Amino acid sequence: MRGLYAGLCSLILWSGSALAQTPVYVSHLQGAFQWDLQPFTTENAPESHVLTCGGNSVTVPMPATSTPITDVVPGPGQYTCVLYAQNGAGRQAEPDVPFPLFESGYVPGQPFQLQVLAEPEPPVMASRLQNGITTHSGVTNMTRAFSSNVSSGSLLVVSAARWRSFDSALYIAGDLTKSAGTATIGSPTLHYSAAAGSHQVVGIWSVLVTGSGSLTLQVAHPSGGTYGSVVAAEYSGTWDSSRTEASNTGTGTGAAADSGNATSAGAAVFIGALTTDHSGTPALTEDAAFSLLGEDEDASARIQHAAIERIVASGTTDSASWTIGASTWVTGVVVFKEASGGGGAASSRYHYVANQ
Amino acid sequence: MRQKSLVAAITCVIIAGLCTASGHAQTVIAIPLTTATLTWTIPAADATHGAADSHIVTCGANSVTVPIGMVPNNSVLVSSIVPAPGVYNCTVHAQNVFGSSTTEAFPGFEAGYPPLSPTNPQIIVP
Repeated sequence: MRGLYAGLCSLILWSGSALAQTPVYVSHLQGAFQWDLQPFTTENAPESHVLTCGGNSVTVPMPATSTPITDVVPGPGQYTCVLYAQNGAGRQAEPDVPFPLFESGYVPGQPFQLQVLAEPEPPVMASRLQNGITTHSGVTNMTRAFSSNVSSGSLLVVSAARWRSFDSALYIAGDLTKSAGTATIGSPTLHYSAAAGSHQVVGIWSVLVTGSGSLTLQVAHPSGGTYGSVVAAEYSGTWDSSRTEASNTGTGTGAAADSGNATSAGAAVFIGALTTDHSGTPALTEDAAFSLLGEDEDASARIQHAAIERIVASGTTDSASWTIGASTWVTGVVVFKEASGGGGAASSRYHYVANQ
Repeated sequence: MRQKSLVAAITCVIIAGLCTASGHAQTVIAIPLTTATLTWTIPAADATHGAADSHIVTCGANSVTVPIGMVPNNSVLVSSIVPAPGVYNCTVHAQNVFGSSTTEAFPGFEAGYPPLSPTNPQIIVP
């Protein structure tokens, strides 16, 4: 087979060099392979071209010199494809002709519900996406697995309380880590840690999700014999490192546990945590303005621990408080606020381009 | 047969008239230039659509790019696109490395400045 050769191969929308390893990005549904023919005679006219991408191959009869990507590869992905010409006498003598490396994918869907508003929409208030508690007995490290994937940008708030014989060492920020999952998180901040008596400690951390996915958090301890629980909650919103607005702590004995007031200037999430040195199972009844994130009342098996939340839309002063069985208690409240204005003044947040 | 044709012709005229009247009746929204925003809803990626990297809002010869990581990523101040009061028709489309979505149009609007407050209010006794 003499001189039968598929000439310049190209992808529609191709704009790069075949030598470069950076793939050409094309719409999977709209992209197409296209090639040119070298001059031929009746003796060496190609009858068809065979296009191969990995294990997929299609034959394109003449006179067509193009074919949609969707006719060759099954779905979006990065592909290396080659082409050769053939007729009744055989295939081209020269090696297969490569197309540029390309990656196909789907273009985004079109926006909808377009509106013209006289005023900017108010920022969406933070909301709780999920929460729960996991109890542990006689372990070294306590964990809590989120039941659903966490989302990038979310705020995670964690409260842990532990009992360990004659161990009142307070928590540190680094005690909270990711132990499993596909999500990624930032550096945790410890907002509060206190001991109630000689054996039990409570803490409140927060950390931002930097990559969505599954997540199990771990509250570590250097040695075993720990009894306690971990409460974790996820909040949507616009969060950054300036999220801590206020905090307060309380300690005492008796049936009324109170953190003392903390104040938000605007919309905020109040988080309270409590532990007691009670050895029985009296109820922990939280402040009516708060919602329960998780609690373990069974101090006969572990340690009493509760974490509560109050989401407010405007400036608020409140404390985290409980009615408990008379005992020694420690409690803290932390106020989290979203990033200023949900991201700052809108007029400075967009890149202005004047088309010429 | 002739009657049928006549009815059809009249129907066409009526429909055409309604369409024309409807087009003329479309009101241009009057909005304050300094505070008005254009907003849109971003569809979720599905079996044949990818996630957007950004949205491009265009008003006449001007446009802004709103990256998907921006907060918020589905609205833009009108004053950041158009330089002065006037009647504008704006559109938005999504894009990623694989291409662009179809372009959607916002309702037409006229942006302007609200009036200044009156001064020196008085009660006059004749």
